[in-house]
Amino acid sequence: MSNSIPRILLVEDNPNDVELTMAAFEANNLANEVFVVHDGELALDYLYRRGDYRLRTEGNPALILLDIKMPKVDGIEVLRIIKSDSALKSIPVVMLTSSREEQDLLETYSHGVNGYVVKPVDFQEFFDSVKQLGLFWAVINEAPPGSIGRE
Amino acid sequence: MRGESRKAMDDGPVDVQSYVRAILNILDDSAGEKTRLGDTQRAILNILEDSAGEKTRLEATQRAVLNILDDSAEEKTRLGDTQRAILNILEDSAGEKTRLEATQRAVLNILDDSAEEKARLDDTQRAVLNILDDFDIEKKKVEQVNVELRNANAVAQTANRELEAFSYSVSHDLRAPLRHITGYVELLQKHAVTLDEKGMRFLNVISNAAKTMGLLIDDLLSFSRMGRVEMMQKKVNLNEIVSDIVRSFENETKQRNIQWNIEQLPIISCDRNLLRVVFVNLISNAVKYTRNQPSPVIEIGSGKNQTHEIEVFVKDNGAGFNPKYTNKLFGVFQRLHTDAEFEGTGIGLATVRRIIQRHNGRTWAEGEVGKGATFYFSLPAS
Repeated sequence: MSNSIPRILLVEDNPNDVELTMAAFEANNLANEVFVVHDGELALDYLYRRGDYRLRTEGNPALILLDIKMPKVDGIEVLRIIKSDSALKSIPVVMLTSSREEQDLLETYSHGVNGYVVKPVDFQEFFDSVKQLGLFWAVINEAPPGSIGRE
Repeated sequence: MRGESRKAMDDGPVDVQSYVRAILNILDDSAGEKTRLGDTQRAILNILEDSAGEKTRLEATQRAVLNILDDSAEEKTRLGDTQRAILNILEDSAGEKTRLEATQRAVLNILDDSAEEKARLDDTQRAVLNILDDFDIEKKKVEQVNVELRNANAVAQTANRELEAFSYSVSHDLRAPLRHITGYVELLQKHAVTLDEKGMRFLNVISNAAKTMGLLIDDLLSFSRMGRVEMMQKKVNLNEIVSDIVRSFENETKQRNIQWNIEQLPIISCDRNLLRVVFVNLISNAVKYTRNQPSPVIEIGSGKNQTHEIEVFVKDNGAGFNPKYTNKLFGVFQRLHTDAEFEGTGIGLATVRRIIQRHNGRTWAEGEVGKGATFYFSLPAS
């Protein structure tokens, strides 16, 4: 494995969910592709290369996995900012959330989300979901120009 | 002077000259007299002239008066005519009065009649007013009921909003720890090289409990969502749904030797996910309440009733229920068993009823304590 720059930004405040998600990525050799931030504000700092992330390598992630319910800036607000910024709006964003509430679905799709995945309670299902998400967006899908490239 | 001249004549012999002079004097005097007389006469004549003018004026006046009298005679004649005319009119009006009196009597008669009519109308009016009063009372009652309904509706809307907020929170927050339990149990099972079979079983139990709770949460959420979510009506093969569900119970029931008698079920137009929830509830109930039955039998079948509805039933030979509580069965959070006997949330049959009602169907049940239960639902034939 090379020291590749992470191509997936995982925005998730719950450490258990982070660990379980990372376990699924690890099992599929995708762990190196994932960079984790723990709230919406940090996600925006990362994307705009400011604050702690002002020195990070240039380029947009090939995928953002975004939780909805988070402290400070929630996932829907992060999504809204990303999709209304011409420099960021081409980044594929997939909501990865506990909620299958219709209002969340409607709101995120109205902001232009690229996918919406409900975290299943059953771990095996969850595992499969994360695996397929990672494989599709980070490996199979051609990321938009300006994304961090694959080594 | 006159006295002097008479004295001169009486006194004896006077010369003629003196006499003449006296006479001349007298003549002078009488001439003066004559002049005075002429003056008087003139004055008299003037007076006479004046009185003649006066007479003429009087005559003119008299003529004028006569003319006036003439006029007034004419006037009198005319007045007589007018009077006659008035008298005629008065005569006429007397006739008229007679006629008017007759008319008045007729009118009075009519008024008498109309008074009676009015009395009858008053009675009718009172009756109508009474009815209106009754209506008013009735209307007030209806208004009162409306007010109560509006209040109840406001309460219900508040409750509904709270329920939505509640289910949103459940959806977001309650699932996460369950997912963590199943996730970490799974990870632990992979790492647990030293765990014996029993230990592994415990982990399975934990995992299954978490999954069951996940399902319950989903059921609760789907129940609360029943009123809001749009239905997707499609042709659905009920046998596919049922066999799927029965298979999902295999693990749980493989030591129990349940005899499943599943008939050929129809293909109907319904919301697949919702009908799945119906069968999950009915079948899981059958599995649960036959737990203490040594040879459990669960039957699932269907038929058409007289009104051509499709009736589906799920029948078991389990614990059954006291028929006098039948109406409680389908209530929200209503349970006829304690948690120690049979666990449960009391939401399952309420969900069934809600879903079937949304499909314009009915739900009912038959049962007897210790002799099993049969749950029915009907759906309009499509």
